[in-house]
Amino acid sequence: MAKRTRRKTNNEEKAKEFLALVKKTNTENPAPKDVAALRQALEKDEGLWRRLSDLNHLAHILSLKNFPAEIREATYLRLKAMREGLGYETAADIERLLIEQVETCWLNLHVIQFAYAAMLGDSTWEKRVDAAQRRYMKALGMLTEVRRRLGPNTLQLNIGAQQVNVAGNLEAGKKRALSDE
Amino acid sequence: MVEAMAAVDEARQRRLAAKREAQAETMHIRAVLDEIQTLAQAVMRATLLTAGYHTHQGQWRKKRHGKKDKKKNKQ
Repeated sequence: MAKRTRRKTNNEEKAKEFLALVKKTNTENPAPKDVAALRQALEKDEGLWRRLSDLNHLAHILSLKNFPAEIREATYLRLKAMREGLGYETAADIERLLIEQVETCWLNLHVIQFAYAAMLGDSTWEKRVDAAQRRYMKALGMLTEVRRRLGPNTLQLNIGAQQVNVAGNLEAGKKRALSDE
Repeated sequence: MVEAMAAVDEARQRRLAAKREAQAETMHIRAVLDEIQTLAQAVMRATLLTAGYHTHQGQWRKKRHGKKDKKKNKQ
């Protein structure tokens, strides 16, 4: 028990340090040593990524524990399909993490909507539905932001005063153009 | 009469206990979701920051072709 508490405290401290580092680096000209420390924390601190994955798994179990086994299985299949639809297999680590978060928030929203329907419009549950919707939209927003900024297949061109965004598989397009020549 | 009242009281106690348990479960899930959101947001921010972005009035921006770059290009 003492060991577990110590490990939990260590994880919490690490998470706090990480959050402080993120805050410190978020300026127009961050100190290179801070950026390097942040990169190192991202690349080497596997505990952070594992913690997030564990938390998502825990949230799935907690959300579905009061449902019958058939519904649980059907929901897991739905989550799997959702994961495939969002391109989990070919996604980068950060996108995978955000896809998992989207799944969790989607599940939470649907469980709360189900409870709200069962409570026949209880105002407390109405607030919970609103909060779950906001959480889900935020998770989707984060995934969209990362894909928009870091997506390997999107190119921004400035032609004259107009900005043109080209999306798609640019590498495949280039190869096709070369083979046409 | 006394037995009937005791049964009603017991049923009420059971209902309250179930409600308390449901509330505790809801709080636990909410705490887990809050932690997921905080950590995921921090990792997302860290990824964008290390890719050269920063936030300006809530928007992510990338510094491109600054004065230093222009000077370097001229040289």
